[in-house]
Amino acid sequence: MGESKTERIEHSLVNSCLSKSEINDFISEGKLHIRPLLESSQVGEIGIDFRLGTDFLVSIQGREAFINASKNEWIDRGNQRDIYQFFQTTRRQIGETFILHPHQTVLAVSLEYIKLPENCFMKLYMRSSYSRLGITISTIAQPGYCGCLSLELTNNNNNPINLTVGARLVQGIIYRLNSSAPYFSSPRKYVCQVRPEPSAITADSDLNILNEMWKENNNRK
Amino acid sequence: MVSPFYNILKLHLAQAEFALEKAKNNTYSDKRKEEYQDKLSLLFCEIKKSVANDDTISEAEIYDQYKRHIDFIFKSLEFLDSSTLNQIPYEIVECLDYAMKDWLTSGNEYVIVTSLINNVGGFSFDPTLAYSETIYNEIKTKYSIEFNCRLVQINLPRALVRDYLSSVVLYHELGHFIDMKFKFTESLTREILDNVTGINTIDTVEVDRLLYYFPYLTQFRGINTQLSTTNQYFWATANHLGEFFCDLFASQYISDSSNFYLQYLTEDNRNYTGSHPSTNFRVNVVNDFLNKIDNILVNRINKAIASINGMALEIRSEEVLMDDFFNLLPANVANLKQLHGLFNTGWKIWLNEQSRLSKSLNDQYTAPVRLHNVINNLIEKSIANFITQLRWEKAKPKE
Repeated sequence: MGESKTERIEHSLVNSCLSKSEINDFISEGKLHIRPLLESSQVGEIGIDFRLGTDFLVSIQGREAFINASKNEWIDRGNQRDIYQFFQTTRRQIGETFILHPHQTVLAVSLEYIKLPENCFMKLYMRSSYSRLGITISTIAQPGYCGCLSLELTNNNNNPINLTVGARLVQGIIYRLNSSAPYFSSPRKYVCQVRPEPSAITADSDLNILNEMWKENNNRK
Repeated sequence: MVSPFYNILKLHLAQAEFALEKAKNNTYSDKRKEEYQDKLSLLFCEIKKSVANDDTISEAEIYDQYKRHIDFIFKSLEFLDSSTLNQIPYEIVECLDYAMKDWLTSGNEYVIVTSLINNVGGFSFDPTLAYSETIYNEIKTKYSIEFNCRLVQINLPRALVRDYLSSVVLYHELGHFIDMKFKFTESLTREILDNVTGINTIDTVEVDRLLYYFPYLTQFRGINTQLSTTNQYFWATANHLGEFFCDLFASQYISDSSNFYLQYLTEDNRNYTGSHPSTNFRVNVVNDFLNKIDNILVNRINKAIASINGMALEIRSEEVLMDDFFNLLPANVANLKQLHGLFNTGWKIWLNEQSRLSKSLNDQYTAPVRLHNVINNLIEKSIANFITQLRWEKAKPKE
């Protein structure tokens, strides 16, 4: 049996995930940067463990009725509020703890600042022990990404969970592409971030086009 | 019937109680701040108890015995409230703490606290809680409460709390604390004035060199009469020497980082005031020190330092290569000298290499705010990583 067309396309884009020895080679050759790498044992057989950083953006309910993730000014009377308004910043020291409440969205960052090679991207998964507590995450770091990793944490458990700052929380699996895709070849919203940054969703240019379409359809021009 | 001032004293107490109650929720990065705050609460309870039993107290006694102590609580809280883990510019304060420890034999006696103020030019050192031994002694005698540490109060603009370029000014402010602690320039002021007036004769060329930096003293040259400490020129000289010392103190750690910034802030003022020397003199002295050019002020200040605590002004920073920043990486800081050197690297990039940094970002972010943000982030993370690694190594079990 030969490869299906889809499999062939995927193979042409993505080679494989990096093994432990390849990750270590990339680090020693200066192609992959992880700062700080507190323990070499953070590099596992197929990925790297990343630690929970010290800064958090905690979602709060303020006076605004909702987060407007569109450019539709009719819905908020043109007073689109900065998404920062829906979050509160808080810091911890390494070794301190942070309580993640049920169904609350918390933006954190990895303790490590990374820079990926331009031909690799990374998928982040919650480490199994934390997944089993009901914490989920969904993040991809683009090829060439530089900065602390954004960790969008949600606690799906019905109980609050106390997390330790500096603990190994997520695992990153690095996939190699067959060609380079420099991070700054296209406009980027998140650059060299070291603290959690709220969504920059309204900077998506598509939203302007979609809003124009909505206006056209609804006689709002 | 109690006096109106007694009732106002009770109002003052009520205000303090409210402020302390609110401060109970503060979380600090340093246990000593928590202990200090606990002592404040204890002090408040003692004052309250004492006031309750003393309703016939006179107005003068109210001021003398209670008001100042309640003011002390408020002054302390003003800084503690702005020094919580969420508010304090933790990374820069850690750097200042390392610099402070270079000069103190016991670093645990003093804790740096910050007050965030709504004045963009509001960098300053407030000596109230570091050097008011009288009030600490009064509290100890009257209430048997002893504060184990003193607060080194540094004011900084709220708007610049996370600005690592302008933060270099804080090293200068720390210099004021060190100068007051050891009285370097206090002793030097009298010496220089006596040299100028001829009470302590020195070579005339030396006097010329001194008068270059203190031109307003020319009128007193050779008068052979001691200038009183109440004389305005005595104070101007003391103030100027203090500023020269602080500039030099800072330059040990941040090199010439603050020179251009100082020129900008003072609009390159070529005139002296009663409190500050002219900017060009300040910049010259720093440059001479950094370039090891013989300078009478550097020599005199160094001599004063050596005679008081045996130390000397020296370069206490190391250059951090810019390459990591151009690669958009936080620097791997190898030692404390490099930790301080980070600020100079940031300034060098900002002053001379913005286009190169912009190229690293594929020229997508030419707006000053974006480049500033990148430099800020990289300096902050470089400092944070250094601190984290040190603490990790210290805490982990030895093999």
